[in-house]
Amino acid sequence: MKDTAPFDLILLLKLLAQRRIRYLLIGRWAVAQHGAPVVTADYDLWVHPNDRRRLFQLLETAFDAELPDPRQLNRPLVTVYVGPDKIDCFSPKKIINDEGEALAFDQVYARADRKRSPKEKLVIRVPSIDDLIALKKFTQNDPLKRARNLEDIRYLQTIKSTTRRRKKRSNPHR
Amino acid sequence: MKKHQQSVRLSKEARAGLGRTIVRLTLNPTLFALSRNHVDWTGRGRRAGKRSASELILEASRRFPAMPLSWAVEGYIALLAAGKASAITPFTVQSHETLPEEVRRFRRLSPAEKIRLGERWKRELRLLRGAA
Repeated sequence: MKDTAPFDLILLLKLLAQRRIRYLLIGRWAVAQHGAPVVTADYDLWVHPNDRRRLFQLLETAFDAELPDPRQLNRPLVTVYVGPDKIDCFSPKKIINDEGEALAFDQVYARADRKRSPKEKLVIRVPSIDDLIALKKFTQNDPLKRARNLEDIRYLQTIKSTTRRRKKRSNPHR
Repeated sequence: MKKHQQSVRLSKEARAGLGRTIVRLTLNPTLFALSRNHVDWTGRGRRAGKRSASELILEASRRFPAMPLSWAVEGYIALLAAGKASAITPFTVQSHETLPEEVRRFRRLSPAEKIRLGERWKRELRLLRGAA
């Protein structure tokens, strides 16, 4: 019997950091990291195209993930299942949203926020609020997705406007 | 230094926005002098690509909605004189207290706690769906 764990996002994020896999947590879990109380069933990760294989290996060895046919692993979006949990792994060099705005992985990664839980020794890389808003405009013309993403964008904009004020207050001389 | 007084008859658009026909502004004379590069106070307007006084007042009231009109206009002239186009764009800043209570509570959690709570909500949703 394999020594694997049930899917655990915190564990996965720790393992990604340990193995220096360049990733970004995107989708609703990233929106939640910025402070919006939203819930979603699946997980979305955007990994550097060169680290994609290592991510799949990790998911297979640590969580006994069901990987699709090996020929499909080079696609820019690969869906992996760990039991009932669905993980969408994006790995394009850049994503172009519905408004034609191009978001390159390297740039978004460089601008990313690092959310830290020192007690748990956890650091989560999520796109900055502005990049996440731009990513939320990638809906591939799916009306359901668009409605949900609009709700997320509204949350992010509200959070952004309150964060700006709090930062100014905490450092008025900047 | 005595402050400059300026009366302006508003355009139709500005009248609709401000609910007044004539406004009387009390302006810092230095700022008023600086404003002449950007605003035509004579009412002829736009000849040299300048704003009319009405347009200036409307833009200033949108940029600084919570301020008395004369202060808003003075502030707006200062921004125009500084040439900061991005600073002219109106924006609103909401206070943290305007966020719903559940958002404020959620924001206080650590990144790991946010994930744990999200996982709990997810399990509860699954259970509810299974029960339905």
